[in-house]
Formats: sequence, C-alpha cells, structure tokens
Amino acid sequence: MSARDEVRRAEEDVREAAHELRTGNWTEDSRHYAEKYWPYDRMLPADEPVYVRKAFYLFGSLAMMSFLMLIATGAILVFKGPLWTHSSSAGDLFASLHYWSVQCFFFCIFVHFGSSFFTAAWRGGRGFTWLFGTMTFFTAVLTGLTGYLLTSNYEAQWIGQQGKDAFNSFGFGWLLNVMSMDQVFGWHVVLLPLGVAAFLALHLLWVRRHGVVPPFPPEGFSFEGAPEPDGPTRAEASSRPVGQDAADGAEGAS
Amino acid sequence: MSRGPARWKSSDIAWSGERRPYDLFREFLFSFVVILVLVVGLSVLFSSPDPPPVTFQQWAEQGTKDFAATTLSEIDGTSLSATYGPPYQSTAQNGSTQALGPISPETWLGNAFPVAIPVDPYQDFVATPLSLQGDADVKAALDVWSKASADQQTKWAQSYYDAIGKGTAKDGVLTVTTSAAKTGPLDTIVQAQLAFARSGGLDAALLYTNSPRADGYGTWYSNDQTFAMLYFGDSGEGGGGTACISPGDPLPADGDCWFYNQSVANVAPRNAGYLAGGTWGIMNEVGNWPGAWWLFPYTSWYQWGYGATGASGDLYVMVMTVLFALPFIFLPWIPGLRDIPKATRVYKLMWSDYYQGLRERR
Repeated sequence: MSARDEVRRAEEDVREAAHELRTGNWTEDSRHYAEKYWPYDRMLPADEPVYVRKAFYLFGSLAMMSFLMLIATGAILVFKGPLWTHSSSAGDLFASLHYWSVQCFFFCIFVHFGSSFFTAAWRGGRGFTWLFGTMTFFTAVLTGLTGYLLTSNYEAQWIGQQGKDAFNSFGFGWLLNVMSMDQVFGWHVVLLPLGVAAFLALHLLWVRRHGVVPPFPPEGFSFEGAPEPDGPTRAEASSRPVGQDAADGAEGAS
Repeated sequence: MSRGPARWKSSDIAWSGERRPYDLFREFLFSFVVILVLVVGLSVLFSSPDPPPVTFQQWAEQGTKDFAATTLSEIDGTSLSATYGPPYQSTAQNGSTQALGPISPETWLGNAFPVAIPVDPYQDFVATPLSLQGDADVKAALDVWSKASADQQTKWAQSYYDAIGKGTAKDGVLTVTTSAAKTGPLDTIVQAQLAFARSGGLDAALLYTNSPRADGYGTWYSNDQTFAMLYFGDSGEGGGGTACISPGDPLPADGDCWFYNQSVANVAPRNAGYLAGGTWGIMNEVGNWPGAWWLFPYTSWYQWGYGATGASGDLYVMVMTVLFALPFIFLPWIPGLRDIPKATRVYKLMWSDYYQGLRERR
C-alpha cells in the first residue's frame, strides 16, 4: 500500500470513528469533539517542531501578556474610577501603565501579523486561526478607541467630537453615543474586552488545535508534516511529487 | 473509537518531523517579565498624556465673539447641531445625512427608528440651562423670542450677527451696539448665556439638563456630555469658518473658531498640535506621545481623495475601511492574495536556519 493510501485510510478511520461517536447527547458529543482536537498534550505542549525557534514566534505570547497587563491595570483603574488618573500621582502612574500596555499590545500584534502573513500561517486548515486573530485585532481597535474616550481629558473631548460623525454615518451612533461617558464606560470596561478575550481564546484554541504552521516545502522535498500515527516516513514523503503537500495552500478549517 | 490519544486528519497536524523540547509556561513567564519591564520602564520614563479638557468658561473668556456667534446659531437654528439630522433629529426635520449614492445607513436608521438622541439646540443648549437661573428678564426675553414669527427671528438674528462682528470683546465681556428694535431679545439672551458660561455654571448646567428624566426632574447623576460636545462642535460655524486655521498658522487674535483651533494650535496646556483630520487626526496625540497609530487603517482614508474633501467623507471612510478589512479577515480563502507570501519569499529568510539544516542533511 502506498503512503498516500495509508494516509487516506487513516483519515477514513478518523471520520468513521467520529461518526460512531455521535451519541446524540450534546454534552458527550461536545466532549468527544474537544478530546479529539484539544487533548492535553496539544493544549500544554512540552515540545514543538524544530523550526519553531525564531524570535518572531514570541510576539504572539508577548501580545497576550500585554493584554493581561491591560486587564490588571484596567481593573485597578476601575476600582478608583476614571477621574482618579487626574487627581493623584498613583492614578497617573496606573493610567501610564495602562497606556503603555496598549502601545506594547498593538506593537506586538503588528509584528505577529507580519510574521503570520509572510509565513502564510493560514495554510493547512489554519484559516480560522487567522480569522480569529484579525477579529481580535479589530475588536481591540474599538476597545482602544473607547479607552481614549474614557480618559476624560481634552483628547477624549476631541476624539468624541470627531468620532461621532463616522459612527453616525455608518449607523453605529444608534448603538453607541461616543459623546456620553455613561455609555462608553460599559463598552470599554465590559463589552469590548469580553469580545477581545473571546476572540483571543478562540485564536489560541485554534493555534493549539492545528499547531504552528510548517515551513513551505523546500525544493526537492514535498511533504514534511505527515498524518499521525501512520503517516509516511520522511523518506517516503519526500519522494512524492512537489505540490502534493497537504500543508501547502489554504484549505479552510476542517 | 477508543478513548486516549486523539487521532488527526492530515490538515490538523502540524508536523511529524523532528521536534525540540519546549516549555509553554516558561515562555509565558518570560513574555510576561519582558512586557512588565517594558511597560513599567516606559511609564516611569515617559508617563502618559493628560491634557486638561476645554470648558465653556474658557471658551467664553478666550473666544468671546465666537462663543456669542455660536450661541446665536443655536438660537436661530442654523448651527451644525441644529441641522445635523439623524440621530439627533428626524429625517423629516433635517435631511442632511451622509450618503454615497443609494447607500446611507444614517437615513435608513433615521427613517426606521424614532430619534435616537433627541437634540434641540435652542432648547437644550440655551433656553433650558438659562431657565435654571430664574432670572425674570431672561425668561421674558426667551418668551419674546419663542413667540416671534420666523421672519422676525431671522431679521433679529441677522442684525445681531452683524453687531457681534462689529463688536469688541475683552476679558470675556462682549460689547456690542444694538437696539431692541433691530435685535429684539437677542442681546439679553446671548449676554446672559455668556455670563453664565463665564461663571462656569453653563458647564454644570449642560450636564444637569442632558438626558432628562421622564418625570421632568433634573438628571443629577448624569455623565452624558452630548449637549456640551455638540455645542463645542458648533464653534467656528461647525469648524468650517474662515478663521479655522491649519497646523502651523497663527491663532486668530479674537479667538474665533476657538474649539477647533485648540486642536491645531500647539500651545500649553494642551499642545494639541496636529489633531485635525487632514493631519491624521485622532490617530495623533497631544505632545510627543505615540498616539493611536493603530487606527491608521481607518484614519488614512481621511488623508486623500473623497475622504479628505467630500461632503459624505465620514461614510466614505467607514465604507473603505470595511471594504479593506474584509479581504484582510478572509485572506486565507482568497486565491491570489493568499499566495503573496510565497511569492515574496520572505519566508526563506524567516526560516533560514531550518532550510540550512535541511540542505546540510541532504
């Protein structure tokens, strides 16, 4: 049996087994789904493919840690209220910590975007990993914008005054009045961070589900990532014609 | 299927080649320490911007004639806020909505729903706050104005615009030459509003009267700045007046277009510098801080073409932002776009040591 046939058979086995596991019990089926895609050794890996050793891989987790800093400093700002930052040096310090966490967050996200783009990190069924990442970014942009409105200083006045026209023109003004701190507070502190956290969680789950995208196959090699556990050996895989790489080219999430 | 180690479809699996030891938690801790040191260091070194907000008190003192003319435009219903349309007025009352051909969410929502944020500038910005003071002369003047015919109101207003133009202002006091015959009750109303603003009372009154309770009592707990913000935005004929300057220009001596010129004038305590739309606007920040640079996918559309000059520029900018965001979000499924990284071959540099290792083994 050729290596390709073995792969196909292994895939059929998996599909068949998954079908058999459909018990009709939503809880049990959901658990089987999670066990299939997010077993502990994938969620908390103790090893990584050998190519994952460059500094650019770190910017994803740096962005996540910036987000944690934002949550932590933001929580302290919430304790004391938005006007605290103008009236005490401690308030000013926490406003600054929050501010620079935002700058770090978006800087890391942009580097992460760059490395994900140039490595075409959506290949091999990783489309949704990219999609959830971009949604995290766009939700974070809205969160950042509403944060400026909460600073209750001249910038808040200016951005609220200018931003309202764009919001109104697109119909968002019906949902969020950017000139009312009463409304902006809840959006910035609760609704939008929940959105960022939700998309970030989905992004991380999909990163763990599919793993880090392998390099483009070099000339003379065609297939470096073989299905487990019965995939072709590297020697067999590399004898296949170039262009047959399952990990090459976006397929959408499975 | 047996429980235990999961099995994988080919597209799920990252890699079955060589692996190296890795510790996720150590990476997290390392990343956290890096960010913590960076954020604390930057905060201690550079702090963060906190320019004080502008107030009606400052406006009345520094831009007295602009404040008076703007107040008059609220009274005679010609201000930007009075003619804005949805969501502040109904489409029947004011149809000045942004549209790109048949596309106009502002009109659609304005037609579909009751007025979302009702704003009547004469009542909300002038008459109601002034009434809080209980001054009999002012109350009588407001009555005269509201009972006058539209023609009469227009004549009085035009005369009073002229009077403000010829008048003088010093230390927040406006001196104009008028007569009751020419300007009706307007001098009484505008001077009362000016005095109220100069005292600081108008800043508080606009909050107190914003979002009125259904039972008619004042909203003591309000933190809604809509009325005040819209009033500011009507300064300098809604930012379109000839006295509204560009970055680098000297400030007009009489404080005209006061609110908008705060955004381009680089003077303390705000040092706003380049906050206006044509200079990347809200992406910038006062002083020398980095600002909201991550808004560039949106603000860049204001810098050229229709977004910089068009009457429906805001809608155009939002549409363009969305039009460019969608292919970015769905990039993995768009042939051609998703192939760009392979064509650029930047990945060869990024994974250089991996490819080097492969060559050596071969």
